[in-house]
Amino acid sequence: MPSRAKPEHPNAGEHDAAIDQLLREGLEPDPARSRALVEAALASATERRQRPASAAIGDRRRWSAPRTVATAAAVTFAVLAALVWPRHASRQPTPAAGTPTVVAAAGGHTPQAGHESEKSIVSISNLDGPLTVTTRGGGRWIVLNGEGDTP
Amino acid sequence: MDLEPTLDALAPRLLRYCLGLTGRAAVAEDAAQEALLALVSRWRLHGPPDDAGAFVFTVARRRLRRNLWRDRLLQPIETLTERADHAPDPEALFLTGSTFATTLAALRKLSGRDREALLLVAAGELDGAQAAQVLGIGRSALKMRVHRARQRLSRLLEDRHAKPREA
Repeated sequence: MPSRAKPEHPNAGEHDAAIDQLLREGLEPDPARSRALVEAALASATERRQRPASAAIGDRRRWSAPRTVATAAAVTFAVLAALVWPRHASRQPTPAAGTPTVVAAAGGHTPQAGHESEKSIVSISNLDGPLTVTTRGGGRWIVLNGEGDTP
Repeated sequence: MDLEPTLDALAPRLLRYCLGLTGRAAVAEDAAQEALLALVSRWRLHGPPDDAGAFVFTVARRRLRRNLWRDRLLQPIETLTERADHAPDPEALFLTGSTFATTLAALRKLSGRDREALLLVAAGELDGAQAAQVLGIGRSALKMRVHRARQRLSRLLEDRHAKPREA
C-alpha cells in the first residue's frame, strides 16, 4: 500500500530556513523603532523606580492574595453570622415584662406565675386554670418576676 | 550578561513576533514595550531571569492576548462612536503587493496556533525549548505546529507568486 505521506521537500532544511528568512524580512522593524523601544523601556523603569513611596502604594494595593483571602473570610463570616444568629436568638425564651415566663414544676407541683424550672418538662395539664407542669425528677424554682413562691 | 545589550538583541525579534501576530504596528509596539519594561523591572529587582528570551516573549504573548480581547470587546463601541481603526486590513494590504503585506496576509491564513508557533521560532528566533516553554506545550507538539505552518505558508507564498504569472 503506498504511503499517504506527502513527499518531503528535497532540501527540507534549506527550504525551512528560506521560509523563516522570508518571514523575518517581511516583518523586519525599523531599527530606529527597536532602539526607541529599548530606550523607552529603560526610561519607564527608571521613572517608576524614582517615584515617591506614596505613588507606589497604588501599585502595591492592586492585588494581594493574603488580603483577598482575609477579606473573603471576613465577608463569609459576616454573612453566616447574619444568617445563623437570628435563628439562634429566636430559640432563647425571652420573658415579657409582667407576664409569667415559664411555668414548670417538680413532679406534681402546681406551678405559680413567674416560676421557672431547670428541669425538662414531661407534661403540662390544666391549661384553663393554674397550669400543672410535671417535670422529670425534682426541680429548682427560680422567681423571675417577683411573684409566686420559691420552693 | 548585561541588560542593555540583551534588550537591544531582543527588541527587533519581539517586534517582529508582535507585528506578525497582530498585523498592527501600534498594538505590536505597545505590547513589545510592556514586555521589555517587565524585563527591565525584573532584572533590576531580582536579577536576570533564567531565560530572558522566554521571559520577555511570555509576557508579550500574554499582553497581546489581553489587548486583542479588549479590542474585540471595544470594537463595536468604537464603530458606533466612529473611533474605529481605519488602518487597511491585511487583505487590502495584500493587494498592494509589498513584502510586508504579502507576509501578513499569508500569516493570516494560518491557524492561530500554527501562526504563533511559527512566529516564535522564525520571527522571534527562539529555539525549540524556549518556544515550547512560552506556549506551554511539549517540544514535539511545537515541532509539528511549526512544520505544518511552514508548509502552509510556503504553499501560500508560491500561489501568490504563481498567480501573476498565470494572469
